[in-house]
Amino acid sequence: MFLGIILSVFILYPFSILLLRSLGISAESFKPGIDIFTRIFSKRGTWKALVNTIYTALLVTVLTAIISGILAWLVVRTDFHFKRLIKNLSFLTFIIPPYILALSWLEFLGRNGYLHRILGYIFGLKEYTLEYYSITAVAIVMSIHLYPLVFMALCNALEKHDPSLENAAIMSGATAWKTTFSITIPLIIPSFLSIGLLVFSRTMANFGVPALLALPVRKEVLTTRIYASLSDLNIDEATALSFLLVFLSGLVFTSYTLIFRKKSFATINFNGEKPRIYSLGKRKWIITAVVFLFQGITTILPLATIFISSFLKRWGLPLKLEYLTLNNYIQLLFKNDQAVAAFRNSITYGITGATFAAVIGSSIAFISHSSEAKGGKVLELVASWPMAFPNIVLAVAAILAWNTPPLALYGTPWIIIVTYMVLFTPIIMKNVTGLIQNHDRTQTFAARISGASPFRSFLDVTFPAIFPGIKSGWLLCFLIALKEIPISLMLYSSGQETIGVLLFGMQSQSYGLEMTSTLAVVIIGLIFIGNIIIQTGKRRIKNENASD
Amino acid sequence: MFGFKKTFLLVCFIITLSSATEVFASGQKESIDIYSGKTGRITVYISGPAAMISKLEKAFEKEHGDVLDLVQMGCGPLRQRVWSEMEAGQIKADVFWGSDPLIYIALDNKGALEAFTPEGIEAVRDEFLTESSYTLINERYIVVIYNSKKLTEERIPSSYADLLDPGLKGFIVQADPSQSSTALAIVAGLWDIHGRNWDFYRGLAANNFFLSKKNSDVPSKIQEGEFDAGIAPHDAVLRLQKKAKKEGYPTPLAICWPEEGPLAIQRPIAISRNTARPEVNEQIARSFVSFMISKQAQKITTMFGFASVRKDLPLTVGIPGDLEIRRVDWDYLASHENDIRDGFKALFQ
Repeated sequence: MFLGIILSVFILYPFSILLLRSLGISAESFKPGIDIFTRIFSKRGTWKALVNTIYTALLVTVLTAIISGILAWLVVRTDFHFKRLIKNLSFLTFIIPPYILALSWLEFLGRNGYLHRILGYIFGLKEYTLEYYSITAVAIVMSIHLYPLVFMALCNALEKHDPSLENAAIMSGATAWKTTFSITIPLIIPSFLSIGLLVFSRTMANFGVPALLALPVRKEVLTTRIYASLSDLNIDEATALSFLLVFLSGLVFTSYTLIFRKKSFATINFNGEKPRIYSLGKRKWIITAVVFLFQGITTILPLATIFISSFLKRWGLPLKLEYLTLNNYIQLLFKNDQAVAAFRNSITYGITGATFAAVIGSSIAFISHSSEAKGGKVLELVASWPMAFPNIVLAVAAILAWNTPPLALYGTPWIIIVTYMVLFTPIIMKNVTGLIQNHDRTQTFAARISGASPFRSFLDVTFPAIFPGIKSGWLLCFLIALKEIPISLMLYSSGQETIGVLLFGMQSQSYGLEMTSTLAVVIIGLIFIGNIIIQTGKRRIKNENASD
Repeated sequence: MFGFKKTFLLVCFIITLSSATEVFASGQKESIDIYSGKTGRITVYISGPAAMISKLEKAFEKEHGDVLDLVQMGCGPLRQRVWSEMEAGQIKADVFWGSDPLIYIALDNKGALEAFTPEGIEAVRDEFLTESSYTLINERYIVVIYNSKKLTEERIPSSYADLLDPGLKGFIVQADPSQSSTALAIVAGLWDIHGRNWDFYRGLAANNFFLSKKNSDVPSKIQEGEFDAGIAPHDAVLRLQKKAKKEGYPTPLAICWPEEGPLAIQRPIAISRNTARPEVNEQIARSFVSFMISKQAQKITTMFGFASVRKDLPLTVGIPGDLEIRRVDWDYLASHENDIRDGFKALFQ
């Protein structure tokens, strides 16, 4: 009952307000209808933003599928060297927040970037016509950020499916190419589709990258148009655009769920037969060099660019010893009050939001999958909703819901914390659900038969089993809080600046890209440490399960 | 017994209904002021250089004690926040300072500002006295900024119109009026002084000019070598030049005071109207506004490049004395703000 009220207040209420407002029903007027939608669709800019959004998401889906398909096949099905290293480098790319990747894109490829300087130094190049601000730039940066997600999923699919079908084809005389195209690829298509839809939806929901690389040249996507509408003080338009984005996300999310449910398409390797490993032959070293060049460009280069820039007195100065300084780090971590406050705020909001989400998300997962309490599935469904909502829409819904009584949270840190909680709850739920499903329920029954109350048996038997999942989910949510931009950017006020707000707006007359790079290095460092802790925890769970 | 599912659905229904009722009812409610701040401290929304704000805070609090909660933000977010809060029922800030006259005129027209004449107003020059509820604190000039290393002698602009030179195509920058409030004022002002038509901006659009997030990004990007020239307020350039000198690195930033006469944009301050504000806070808010036109505060702001409104202070270092300033009719522009915003957007669609 308590959970039902919490979900109703913090999820259903904001989204019902969003729906009402987009249908023309608000505090200021009562004109039910679709006038707002007619208005936004009468503007060419909306159509352009819609087309750009779909184009970017499609391009990213295709690019990530091609890159990851080739990489996964090389790593799983060939005698390619350095398989572990490629996996680790891909993971490193994935943990770099996309906004920071976009920053490094500008620092490397911009007109005053390192590439132009290198080309100028070597070839005396003066004219530089690369269009580094564009929708295509957004798609490339998002592809670099998201390809590891597809790569991991495809590696997993290739490792798990039954190789006997391929072996049978080869024994029947099919060539390696024919086997790959007629057996291997069709078998992993469901994985391609489900992960592709996730990539599509994450690209569509991203705000930071298009805000940095497309908005300055007046190319809009739906998320930046929502932001611009709010900046223009046009709440109605922002609401209607949010609804449109939710509708698109909902379509993708529903398709994703349907496909994911049908994952029984995949064959299971019951007999432990090893897949055939193709030899790359003489081309092995050329292919290795190309793969490393790719990894160098997508992982090492952005990190090196950001790192070097963080030591410059001012971005744009030549790389000479006299222009290098440690002062940026000293300023950021100790002297700049706003930066110190932003770190404190992000940590506080992250911890609080993740803790609330851990309690709510794990309780819902338990009720839905383990207890006999009724309504668990409804709770799980409602709590999962925010996954289909881009962060910027969660922020718009929060503004609409919490700026007036009964719960006037706008202007207080609670509006950010509550929105984080809504965002994090499904993440914790997903993290815990698997552990609950794998948990041996006979232990709980044994505790109950021995006279333990339901709460006691949960505390002594179930909770220790799911705690590692809660812990890693909590940390994951905390790390998201350290790097997220749109929620805090839309909702912060009096002294509530977060790291995301700082990252988005640090470049000003006092600081150039050098200080944003310094902040980016610190964020990447924190995320890297956090992910090592998460991975160590997951390995421990795996080992414990194996020893059981 | 009522099942869990039914109870849950009932709660959902009640909440949705109550939210809808709230929404309908609030439309008919009379506005009643609520004060959400603390007694003895006022909230000030403020935009401007952090170091300047810090100096002003220290100077004011030295005399009045720890009474200010300053919320620093860019002029765009300031405008957005104040307007959103007004629409939500109550501006949370007691005082707000920064941005440009457009938003203050709009707020004044909505009755959201408290009419107040600060102490010492007689020291303010006539051209900065208004009949509105806000007070003008500073003035800044919209200039053409360029990178002296990137532009050859013959390419150096001497007017706004010189930015239409096709040789600068792709290398001009200005702040985005949909993200920066002052940028909207710049667009409105330049539209006004170019005969209230879009030819100038149409030309800039044809020259592929870039839109940065904030005005302060304009000199930054020009200094860093990403762009060759741009339009922005003069004060940020003066600060960047000062900073480079202090930290010992060269800067190629230079200002062209346009031949047409630089557009002047004033930075107002205002007290929000709130009948529920405690008397002690009302006094602090009024003292703060009066302090901002005092000689002490004005001297601090001129150190950061802004032009003073006082008669008894000399011209800020770096601003030429023989400028023919272009002042525009902000009331007219405020009444056409939506048309100007839409007109600007239409240039790119």
